[in-house]
Amino acid sequence: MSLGYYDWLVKVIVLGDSGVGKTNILTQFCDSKFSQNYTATIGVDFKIKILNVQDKKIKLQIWDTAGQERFRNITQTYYKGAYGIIFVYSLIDRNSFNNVEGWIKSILESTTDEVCSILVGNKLDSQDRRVQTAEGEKLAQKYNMPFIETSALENKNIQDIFDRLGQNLKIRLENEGQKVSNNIHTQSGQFKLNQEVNQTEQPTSSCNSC
Amino acid sequence: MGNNNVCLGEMQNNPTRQGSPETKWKREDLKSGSCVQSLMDKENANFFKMVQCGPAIPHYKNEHSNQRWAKAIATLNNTDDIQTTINLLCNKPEFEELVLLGPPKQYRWETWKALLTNGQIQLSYEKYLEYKPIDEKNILKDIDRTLVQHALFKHESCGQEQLKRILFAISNALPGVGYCQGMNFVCALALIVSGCDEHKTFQCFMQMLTNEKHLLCFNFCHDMPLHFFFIKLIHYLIRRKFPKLNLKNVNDSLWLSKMILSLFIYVFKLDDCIRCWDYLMVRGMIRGIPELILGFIDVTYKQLEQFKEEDYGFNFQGYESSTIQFNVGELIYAAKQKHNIDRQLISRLAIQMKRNKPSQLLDLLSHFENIQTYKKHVQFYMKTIFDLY
Repeated sequence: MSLGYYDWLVKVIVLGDSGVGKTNILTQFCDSKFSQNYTATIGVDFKIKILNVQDKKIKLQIWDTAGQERFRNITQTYYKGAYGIIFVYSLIDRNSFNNVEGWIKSILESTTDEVCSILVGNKLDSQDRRVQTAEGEKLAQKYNMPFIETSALENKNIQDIFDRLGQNLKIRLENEGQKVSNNIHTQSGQFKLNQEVNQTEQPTSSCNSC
Repeated sequence: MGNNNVCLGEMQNNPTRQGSPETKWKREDLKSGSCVQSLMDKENANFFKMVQCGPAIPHYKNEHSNQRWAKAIATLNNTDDIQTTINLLCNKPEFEELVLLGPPKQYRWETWKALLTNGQIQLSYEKYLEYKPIDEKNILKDIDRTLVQHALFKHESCGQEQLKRILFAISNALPGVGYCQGMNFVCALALIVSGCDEHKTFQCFMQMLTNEKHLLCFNFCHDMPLHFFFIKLIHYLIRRKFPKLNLKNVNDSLWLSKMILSLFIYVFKLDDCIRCWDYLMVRGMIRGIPELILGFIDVTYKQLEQFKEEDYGFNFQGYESSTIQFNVGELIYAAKQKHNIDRQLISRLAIQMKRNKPSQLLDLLSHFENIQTYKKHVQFYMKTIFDLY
């Protein structure tokens, strides 16, 4: 399997309150590990992973954002060009669930593009649940997005987040792909067909197991 | 209850304030170095070597710096203790240059302290620990996510506890700023260099936030106006000095914001950060931060030139995963010699930005070129806005 080859390059951003486990979900997904000693994210961190969806390879460029409220000023500038959004809350932090709608609205306000979203309730491993599954489902239904409960600690359902997101991304990209062949020059940089990655890709990048 | 200055543990709950002081801090917990002792007991090993705080901070073996410091110290009559030595040295004209060369490790904290707090009013640390801050939750979320790879912050009861208290106190002292991510890193590094001196770390951090040379409170408050001012200033200077550097599509949050909001800690090796902070203490944050970033671009230009957006993404999330290499001494030299920002530029840019979107910070910075007026404005502002003194 060639690491460099992919069909589409897609930007995905992960949003949610501070401390809900955004970085841990990504570390589990991209590097297959969970670290107790992790660091609060400042600004935005970056991960790459190639996702196989049926016969296609989608290269995900995942933006891991700082969750503290006052960082939203900065966060808004990331939204541009995002094709996928993962909204995360913590099952043991009621506030983080209450704030999800705020995050969703900030996206609706700043982008008119259609994005593939998914709602994730993390920390399924904890006994101290404060948000019921039905509540998450209801919220996801309201905004017409898939919903999933996960544990980054136990690596439970983490792959599923990206599989489900990947399915939706593929459908959308294939629709757009038809448009591209009609009007190839109008496409912006974040959307590329059958692109070969050149050799400058760093081996130190966080995901080389894909 | 006895003497208010001393007793903390029995302090009554203040009903008008947020939260309740259910944590009873004993006076000895707050004493400088007390945490060091308990850590030493825990680790039972060569503490300073392992924890690398205080006197054991590695410093760059720079012969020139050593000689200059030795010569300067030799001219003093009283060199018995470090504090007196620095207090005598800091009145000398060559002091700032000595600091830029890098103080010998045992002099560093006193040097920073002198540059930050000399002539400033000491605030009552205990007073700000009497009640819990509004954003207690946000602070607690980050306490075990701050430099935890460092021995001092591995133990909940030591460095983490001190870090928590200082951040609580800061948030209470400056309720208009509160807690912002990034402060945790700044506070942690100061705590390491101080050798766990909690009181003094608080005093120094408060000066970084409110002193007219630094004004970091505007970096961390809602809307982060100083951060955005830096971004604008840095882009202006990049266009002038490195017009060919391709930053199209490179989001500032991937690299610049991280350096600005964590004072380089999120991005550089700790040792390199400490050297950069020598520079910041001398120059002040307002000019020091953009000058260092320009110096950084200068000494890594050949590498940055090849970078695409993704490379910016990967190389600024901790030095372990970064391919960028540079010599911090060269960076400081470049910042000082080639990227010196004059006061007028700060004022001009502030006035220009003010036309589009006025703000308190831009108001203050528009006076930056006139030191006296600027100082007066800042002092007045700090007194009216914050719960100080």
